[in-house]
Amino acid sequence: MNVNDARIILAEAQSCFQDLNLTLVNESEKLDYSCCSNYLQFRSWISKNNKLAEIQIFIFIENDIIQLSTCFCEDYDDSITRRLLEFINGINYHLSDSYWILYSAVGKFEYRTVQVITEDSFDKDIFKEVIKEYLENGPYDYEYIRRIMQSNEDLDTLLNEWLNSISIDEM
Amino acid sequence: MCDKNIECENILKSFKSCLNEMDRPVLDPFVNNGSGRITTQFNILEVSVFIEITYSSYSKRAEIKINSSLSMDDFDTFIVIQILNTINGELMDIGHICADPYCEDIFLQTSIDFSIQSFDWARMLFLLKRFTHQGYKCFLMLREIAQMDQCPFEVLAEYLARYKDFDKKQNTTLH
Repeated sequence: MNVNDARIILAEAQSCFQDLNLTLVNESEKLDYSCCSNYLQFRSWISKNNKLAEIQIFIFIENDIIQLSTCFCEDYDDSITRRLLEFINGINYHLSDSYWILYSAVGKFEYRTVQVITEDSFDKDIFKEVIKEYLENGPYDYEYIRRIMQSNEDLDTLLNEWLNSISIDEM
Repeated sequence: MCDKNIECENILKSFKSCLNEMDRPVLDPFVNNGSGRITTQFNILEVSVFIEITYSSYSKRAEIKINSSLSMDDFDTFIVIQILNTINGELMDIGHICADPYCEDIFLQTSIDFSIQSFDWARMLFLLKRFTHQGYKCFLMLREIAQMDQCPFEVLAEYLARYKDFDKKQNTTLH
């Protein structure tokens, strides 16, 4: 994809966010990145359960992909990093269209999903459905991650509870 | 039921033609009760890689899983999941890597929701090529980590630096 096509898709992605009443924060382009793909991006945010999360939308030009990343930040004790990572791995094992990453050095949790796009295959209606599902699932999963920080619950029990809840939703 | 089986067979046959295009021979799909799967297996540098694509006409979702014969059993679980978490953050996009929490096998997985989109052959071929490319890279990296006596995180850091540099030169970057 060339940069002009990517700019058109970025504008369409922004209009999807506006249609869903989500705030647009800013827009930037990184076209001379030294170690990664060139990208275009804009930001948004959501607030749920008294928790603010930043959403970043990237279009990686050479890779023909659009990435949605929601970042939740939290202060937590280093001693629970292992429990957090084990739980995140457990969730990731059951997720197929999105995944969680923990940046333990900065206390940041990223929820990510990626869609393949080409200039003639970006469909706004599909993308809006993806955004809606993504913004529903991320904060929902994060509540379970927060419970690990707040209590000493058994990981298997918590994972089963999460799994049963999403399985019921899917039925 | 018959319609569900036909729908499932058609989707899996389309995936099969994508895999054939990638020179990955696949047997005919096995379909039953509206769900089915196709599989293919091959070797890259002594690592046996297995790809499975499943589709359910009820959920209208195709799931793609890649796993390998690679074993990380010599490492503590915490080290393995830290490595996988780093790979997800640094290399993965379309899919992600994780360990089975019960038996510690390592998988790459992704899915496509056909309830909101139709089968676009060119797009699916692109997705499969990119996803399998990421699979090779991940399993080769893990093999290197498993075989070296060095600290696994040092090997990982070196590999990531080398990989990004290589991909920049090849203009096939993974961000």
